[in-house]
Amino acid sequence: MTSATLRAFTTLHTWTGLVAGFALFIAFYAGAITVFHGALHDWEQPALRGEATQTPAHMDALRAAVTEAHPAAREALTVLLPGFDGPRAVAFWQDEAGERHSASLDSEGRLAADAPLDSALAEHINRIHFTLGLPVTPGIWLMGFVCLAYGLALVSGLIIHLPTLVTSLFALRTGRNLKRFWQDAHNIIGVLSLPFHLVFAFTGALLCILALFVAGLSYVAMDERVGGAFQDAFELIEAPEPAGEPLTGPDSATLLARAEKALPGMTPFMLQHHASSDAKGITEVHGVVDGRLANRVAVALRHEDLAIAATHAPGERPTATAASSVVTSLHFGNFGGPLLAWLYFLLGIAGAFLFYSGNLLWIESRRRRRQSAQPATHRLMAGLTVGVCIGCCLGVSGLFLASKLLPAGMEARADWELRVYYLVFAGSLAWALLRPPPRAAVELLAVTAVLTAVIAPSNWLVTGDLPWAAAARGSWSVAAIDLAALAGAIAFAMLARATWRRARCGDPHSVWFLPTRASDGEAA
Amino acid sequence: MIASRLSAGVLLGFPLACAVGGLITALAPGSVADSAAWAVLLMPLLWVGTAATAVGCGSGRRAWLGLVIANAATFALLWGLRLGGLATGSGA
Repeated sequence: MTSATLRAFTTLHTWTGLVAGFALFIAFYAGAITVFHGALHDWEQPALRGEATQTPAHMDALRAAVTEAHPAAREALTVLLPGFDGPRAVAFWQDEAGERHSASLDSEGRLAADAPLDSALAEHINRIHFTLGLPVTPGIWLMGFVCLAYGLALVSGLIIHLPTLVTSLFALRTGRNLKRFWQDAHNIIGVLSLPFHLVFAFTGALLCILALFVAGLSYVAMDERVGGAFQDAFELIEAPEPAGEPLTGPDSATLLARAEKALPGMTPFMLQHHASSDAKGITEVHGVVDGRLANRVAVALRHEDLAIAATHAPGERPTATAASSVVTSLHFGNFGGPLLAWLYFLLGIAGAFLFYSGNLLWIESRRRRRQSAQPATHRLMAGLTVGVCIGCCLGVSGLFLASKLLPAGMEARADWELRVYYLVFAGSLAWALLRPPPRAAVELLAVTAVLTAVIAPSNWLVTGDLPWAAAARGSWSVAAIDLAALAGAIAFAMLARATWRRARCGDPHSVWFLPTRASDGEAA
Repeated sequence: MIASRLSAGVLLGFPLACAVGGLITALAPGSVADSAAWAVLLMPLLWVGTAATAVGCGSGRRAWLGLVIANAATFALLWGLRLGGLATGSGA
């Protein structure tokens, strides 16, 4: 490879990395937390913590209550099994206008449109993960293209480092040259977690902008029948045509037992009822099987005779369904139990660090040696890096606190939680752009440490749950989130301290150096 | 500067990925839905791979020229197959 080609790939790596890096930091930080989506639900809804897990009989009562009150749900109704997303069964349906609704039965058997506490912490964090907090459609499209740029950054980074990969991989040079130390740390983390990053660039692009590739294949290369056939492969059955003869469908316990007989080893998590009160009614039972990456399985059962209308199981399903199961398993990390979930969490945080350190490297490697006057773009870049990255961490901690501390019963409480995130994020960004970068970084990290440290106390204040008490009661998820928040607070405090020491004692020509008043006087 | 090479790779990489995806759909054995699924899985890799290859070209001119030729050849092959009735993915 000529040196000009190497330079071209270095430029490509730098620019795709910088442009995608801001978005990827947010996606990775929020994404690491959203690995524990179910645990966040337990943490956000204290009223449900002590509640016994509902039974299939509750699913039948829920189905009856929803189809009675909402005729549109008779055509198609999805019911999540109790224990999958909290202790209650949850029903989803679309009204005549195509709008999605959900409901569950409370402990007295009444139909409740919302969870007891109007909090949507888990949903907000997930949404920040895949849209950056932008409106959903533009956010998803933007993240899709960010994933492609991320792919380019990975490929070019690999090409640059491949020739010296083996010799320099473990050379973590901890000498006086801090820039080299950061470069080595960036390279080690980048290379060791490369398979993980390749997986995310690829699955992220597919999850966000699959529609673009299907449309391209259909309309640019072939015709719309190809896209139609591809989409149809995802459907287990065609929605049945109602016969007009009323028939009360089999109860949920019967359907689940029949499905588990049809697909041994399946753990069901969702029922989809079609034409639920008609003789032609069908229920799809969706579940997962252990021990394989393409772990999604499904069986469709006819109501009139409980016969199998269709199955999607390993070896007998369309490629599109199997591939989509692999892509979601790899992306969500939900195929290997809690250990794998923690590995995904740690790799997610390490990924966020990779993007943060990448931006710092860009600034450091461009500063003019032994000169105090540095170009304004470097200061802007430093301010943006501090504002976006630390602002996201601060905003997420604010979101956790808002979930607990906003008054219960407040109008549109769940919307206000997200507004707290936006306000804190925008405030941090403005603060970081107005203050000298090292000062803003230290201040924002310190505030993040403090806010993160009070997440567990706020949970205790509102619910009376201390981590060990929650663990003793079996609420491991609540205890783990409290303790993880405390660990996070310590990490932010250590980062604040390191940044502060660097600002005082580091290289005086760095953007991260903060002159004291006395040394200002000397310079003059 | 790599701007010219990169834009060649990004702008012409997408139709090239579509055309290669079309060839896979047209020629792979099995149902259209199954071969289209393989095509869709490969298309993002092809697009990113083409963009990276274009940046590795000596100059912007070579990147644009090479990709125009690659697109023309792949689409010609695809349309030839489809018009000749040899493609399974479509009735054209």
